Amino acid sequence: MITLRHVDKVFRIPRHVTRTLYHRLTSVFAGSYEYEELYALRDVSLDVQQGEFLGIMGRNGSGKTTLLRIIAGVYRPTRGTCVVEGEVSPLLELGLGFQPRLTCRDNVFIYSALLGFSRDEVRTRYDSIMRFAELERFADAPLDYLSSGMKVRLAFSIAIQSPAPILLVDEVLAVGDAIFQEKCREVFWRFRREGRTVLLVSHDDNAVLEFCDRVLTLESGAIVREARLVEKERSVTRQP
Amino acid sequence: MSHNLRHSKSTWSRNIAIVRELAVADFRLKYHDSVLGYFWSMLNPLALFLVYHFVFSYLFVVEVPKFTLYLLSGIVFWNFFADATLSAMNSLEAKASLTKKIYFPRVLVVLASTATAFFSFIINTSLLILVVQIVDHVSSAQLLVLLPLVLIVILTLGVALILSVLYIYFRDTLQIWNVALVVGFWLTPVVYNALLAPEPLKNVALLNPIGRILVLLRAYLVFDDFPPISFVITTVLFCCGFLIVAYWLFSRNEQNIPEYL
Repeated sequence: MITLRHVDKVFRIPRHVTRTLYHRLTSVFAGSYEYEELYALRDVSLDVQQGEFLGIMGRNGSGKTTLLRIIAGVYRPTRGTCVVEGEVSPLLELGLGFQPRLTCRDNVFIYSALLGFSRDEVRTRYDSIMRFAELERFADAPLDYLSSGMKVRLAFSIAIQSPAPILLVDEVLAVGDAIFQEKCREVFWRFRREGRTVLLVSHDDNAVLEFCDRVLTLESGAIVREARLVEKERSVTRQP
Repeated sequence: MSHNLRHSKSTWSRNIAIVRELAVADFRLKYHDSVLGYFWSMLNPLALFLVYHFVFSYLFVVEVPKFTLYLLSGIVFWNFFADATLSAMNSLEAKASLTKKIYFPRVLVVLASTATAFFSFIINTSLLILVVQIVDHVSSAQLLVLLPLVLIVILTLGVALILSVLYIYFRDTLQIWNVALVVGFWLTPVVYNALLAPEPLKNVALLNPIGRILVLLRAYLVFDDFPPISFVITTVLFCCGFLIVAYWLFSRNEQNIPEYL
């Protein structure tokens, strides 16, 4: 379902600020346009089967988010190929991509449009999204006014509406209180039962052990460890 | 490309929905969901119009018949061009949080920001046509006003696409473009008549695509006149060609957008 072959992702980080035309011109004429090459991913090959729940671990800066972004189609690999069969959900992550000055309601509609929902479909789901996020009272408040926990809850509630067969989740279990985390676990188990493919970046060993069939560990952009976890009783409805 | 598969049957309706939601949200932000907010947005072109009207009717008198309509129509069109290109320029940056999360055609972001400016433009143009009907007369040529209107949208979209790409590489494009707009305003026959301008300016004003669109607009709307067909065709071809080239440039750089933001 997802196939990566020898994927490298290299970012060029200029040694000097060249974000303006003025700087770029002066540095080209001075012959000093220099940059550092940062290998965010190095020779990554990966196959993910349909219905697999893949955990991705690794320290900060090891390339986890870059890997998800390449699979999401946001970044293009510098070398190598990435083939994804099936629709991918928006990347669900912290520091969320909302429009801060807009209200919760507007953000729900924008996100839902990106997920491919029509206005009518959003309207029918709207109440349940807000209920899941526990934000019914703040529907018309600009997002600026919400706490970071509230924003993550809202993002999670919208993202799980995604009908996409492939879901990308970047470290969201770390936030939210115990009750919300419990709701997230229920959702992950539902994804498992529905046979969806999930890529879960997490620092939380327990979460990875609970859900994942397989765990990758990244280090400096390369896969250094790969472990298959014991078969989960997928058919048995384990109620969390 | 690996992500072609998602271009399913509903791609079009999804893309239209994205543009609509982004444009509606932008519009709300800009006008704070209120009629009064919209009124404020009209103050800028209105003030420009009053100032130029005063200056060129009393201080330096220009020989343009029906000067009020002439000036008003020029300012409404120029204002759309300036407004749309400026807001398109940082639209990609403003929506970086979305473009870094999911793949969707980046051109939709620029389209949505142009659509927001287009909405005010349509209201202003309707008011303009109404004013012409009241103070002047109804003529058959006025039906052709649709042509310069479509042309200015095509040209503006092309410029917006190019500027939005330049801006992700070079952040001082914004300052440069602000200056270019000031100079461009005077190289475009907004307040003066291109045909009566002195020689070098006349040529610039008539080669300038916005200048040509304005000539068409005034001919149809104000003077009840039909410019030569060759003039019309070259202007149409230029605008369409420009948009195609701009879109080509944009799509070549599309993949770089999230990385540079």
